[in-house]
Amino acid sequence: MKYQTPEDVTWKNLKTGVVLLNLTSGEYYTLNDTAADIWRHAIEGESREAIVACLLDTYKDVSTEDLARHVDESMEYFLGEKLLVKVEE
Amino acid sequence: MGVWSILGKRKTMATNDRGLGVGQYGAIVWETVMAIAAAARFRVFDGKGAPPLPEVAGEEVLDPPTAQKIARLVGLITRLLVIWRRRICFYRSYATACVLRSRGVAVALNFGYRWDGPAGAMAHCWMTLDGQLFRETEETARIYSAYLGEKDPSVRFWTDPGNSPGGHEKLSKKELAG
Repeated sequence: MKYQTPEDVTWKNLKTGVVLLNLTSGEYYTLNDTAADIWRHAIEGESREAIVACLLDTYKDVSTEDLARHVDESMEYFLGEKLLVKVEE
Repeated sequence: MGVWSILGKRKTMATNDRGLGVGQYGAIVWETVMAIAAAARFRVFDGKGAPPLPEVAGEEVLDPPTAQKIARLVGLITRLLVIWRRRICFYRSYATACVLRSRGVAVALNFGYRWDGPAGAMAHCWMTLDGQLFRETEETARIYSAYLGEKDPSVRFWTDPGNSPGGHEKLSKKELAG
């Protein structure tokens, strides 16, 4: 499963992280470093497994299980807030 | 100079002065009250989005001083009516945009978001005309300098590039600062 942003969601890379905005609802989100990393990988069309694998290289002191759980929680949040939608591979 | 030329001149003056006549003052007050009432139904950060702006009327374009005078009047009415002051920047900008757009002046709304450390989430609403700040300080453009996107050309969104994100912060409940 891969992901993409809906048309009415815009985002911007800032020096301090990532901010997202739903242009229709006006809701604004800020992401911390870890969530921003997950977001960037997700919108590049990477699968959940690929995201976990990429982040393992960055966060070497975190176990695979913990990282996978964090990715799952983040993706669930993004999907729940309609910041991402699933696309068929 | 005959009677007709005098009447003609008076008619021309009345047309040019249309935004300042007693009838127009009444119309502006009424439209401002209606716009504030419409704006009160929206919670920009509660997922209902920004209220729609009226289309720009094509048949009449005010000269800049008249547009400024109307904007000042709308701002005064807004200050008198929005006594609770919260989100007053939004009420003022929305009401002014409604009144001026219906008179052929393509004022656009802008929403700026920022995360201000201990103060939490902050936001501001202001107007632009032809891409330039309209009755707004340069400080606003300096703070909200990172363009996020637009719902349509009349509603644009900005953020403070120096803001400090702090996790999955959803700022939807935050009111406009003023």
